[in-house]
Amino acid sequence: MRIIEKGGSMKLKGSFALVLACVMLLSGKVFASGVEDLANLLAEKGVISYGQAQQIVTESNEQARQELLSGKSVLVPQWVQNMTFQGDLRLRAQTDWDSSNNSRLRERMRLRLGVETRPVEKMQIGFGLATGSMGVSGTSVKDAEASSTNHTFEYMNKAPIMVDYGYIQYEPLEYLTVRGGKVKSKTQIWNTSDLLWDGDYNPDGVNATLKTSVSESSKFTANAGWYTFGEGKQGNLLADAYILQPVIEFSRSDVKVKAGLAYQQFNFAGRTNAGTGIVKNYDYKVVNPSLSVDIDNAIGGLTFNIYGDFAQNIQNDMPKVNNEDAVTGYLAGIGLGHNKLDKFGTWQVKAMYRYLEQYAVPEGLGDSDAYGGKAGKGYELTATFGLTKALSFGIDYYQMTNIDGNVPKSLCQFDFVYKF
Amino acid sequence: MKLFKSLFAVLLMITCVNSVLLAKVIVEGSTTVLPVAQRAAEEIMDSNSEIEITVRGGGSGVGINSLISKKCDIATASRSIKDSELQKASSNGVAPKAYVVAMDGIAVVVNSSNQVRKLSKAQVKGIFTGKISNWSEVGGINEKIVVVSRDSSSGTFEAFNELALNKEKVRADALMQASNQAVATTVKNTKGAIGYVGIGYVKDLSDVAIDGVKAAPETVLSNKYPYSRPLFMYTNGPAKGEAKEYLDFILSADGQALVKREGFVGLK
Repeated sequence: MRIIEKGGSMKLKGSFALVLACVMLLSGKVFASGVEDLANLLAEKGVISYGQAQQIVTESNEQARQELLSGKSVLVPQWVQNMTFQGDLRLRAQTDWDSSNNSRLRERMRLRLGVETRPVEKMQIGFGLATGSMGVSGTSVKDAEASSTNHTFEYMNKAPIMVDYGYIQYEPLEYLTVRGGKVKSKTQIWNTSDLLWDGDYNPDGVNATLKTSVSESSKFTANAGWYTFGEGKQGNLLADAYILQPVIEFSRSDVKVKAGLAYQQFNFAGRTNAGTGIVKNYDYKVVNPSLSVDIDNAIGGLTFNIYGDFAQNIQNDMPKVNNEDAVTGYLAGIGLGHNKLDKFGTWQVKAMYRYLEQYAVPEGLGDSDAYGGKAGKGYELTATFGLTKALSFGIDYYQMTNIDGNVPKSLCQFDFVYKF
Repeated sequence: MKLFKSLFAVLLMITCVNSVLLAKVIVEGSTTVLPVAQRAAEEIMDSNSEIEITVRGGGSGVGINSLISKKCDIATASRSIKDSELQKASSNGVAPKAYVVAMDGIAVVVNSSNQVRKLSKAQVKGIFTGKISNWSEVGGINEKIVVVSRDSSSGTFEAFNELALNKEKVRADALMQASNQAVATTVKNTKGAIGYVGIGYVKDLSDVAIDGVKAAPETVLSNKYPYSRPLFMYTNGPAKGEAKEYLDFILSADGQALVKREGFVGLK
């Protein structure tokens, strides 16, 4: 069927095209590719100009994006439209050995999957699933090692999957974000390293982040939160922690300086010590300054950074070790490399030294790979190479000993990580 | 004296009433779209004294943020609104409605002494990101390439960065210029220079065919020229009242003639 007779008036053709385009745009159910095909066809036939075709296609695409991103599309509920997924798969070969000729060689895997959605304006809900170690405690099955999401290959056992985090986040004001639940790691505090907090811990509690620009080149952030570490039984209070941390950030040209001062109070003494991982026999009041300096284009377009964290437990009456206070910890590091590992040929190297006394922070809270998360001192060297936009290969080497320097341990990890 | 006071009071009252009754439209955003927006405003205000149209530049991002925070009626942009901006708009109860008012081609131009008149997209990317530094590597004479770019706050920079460079960084030694005219002047006066400008600024400059296609109205409208882009005006929901009147004018035959006079590609 010929829709438009050859020789018909241009005005009629134009009106027809306009009506057709309007019907398509207003229907809200026409896919953008269909609009594009039809608009191009009309332009080729001379019904409309190529410019008008461009106008119709572009405006309908923009309208579709606007409706999709504002959750107005009628096809699926808003929370489904706003859903995003992310995750990663890490394959690791890990070997560790010590001075007593004890050694282990393990092949491990970590799989993480995160889902986030915005059910209503200014609110976000997210949860993550991850592999890990499951153990039996009484009649219940629990996470046996909260500081690790590794699954060690053994007897072709299937890897258990657990809920890694789950939170509700709300932004009542442009500069204020509040969260509650099993919140994601690093929302509780900004540190330059995992000296105090192993990155696999996703704290249970509530926190708030206030972010505001002080000037064009400086920002102020404040983190505040309360976290629980276990049940309060037989009239005892919950084992819990409070964190308060102001952070300032200055940027000038290629230089970014970020500094924070945290106060972390852990109320453990006399409260529950159930569970694994973190030792909860004492109270801790940790003063924790952190500093990082990043210099972009420092050497051949690469970024150089220097960073450090310090921890001093100011709680009175902490036990002595060898009749001396053991309440100090610090980590200092330097790094060089590309900002992102997003293609073949990109790389990052880091070198850091850490020193952590037994009662500086709750034992087991810091990096579990660094001397098992216990008191120790030594070096960590990392090198990571980008292979594709999403795939990287990294080597992480720890050479550590106890504080006295007489029980050395080494650990080396080789990782392939694919992010999706 | 009493008569003078009364007269003054009446005049003051008329001025106040007039300023209240005067319909105001605020247009803000892209420096690329600015000449079109200004000329259109002048023509409308010349023919209708009851409309006051304020046109401001600042960049596409500035205009869109202004629309999102309900500080302007029309945001002009030389790029499509970003997903993050749409989400922010939605959170603020603003529903940006796009109007394409013209097409723009970003022409790659070289100093007139340069004999290179053809480049591939890969060569353009290599030149602007620093992987190619001498004209002899792309068929020219042994001469250092001087890259001239728009500053990173401009919509033209963002569009070229996305269309030509796949969002890679412009080489560190590029001469960053604040306007299309400044790029044109620098390229014209610098041996070995290469830059990019809106198609309307090519005029007496030497432009380069990209993958065999030159920047021209027909190649821009048919999407054959790789560095072409639509120019937008965004309103909060479908345009109404004076804002609609303004947009209707730009999309009319007279408005599109104005678009062409300012060096862009008209839709009709």
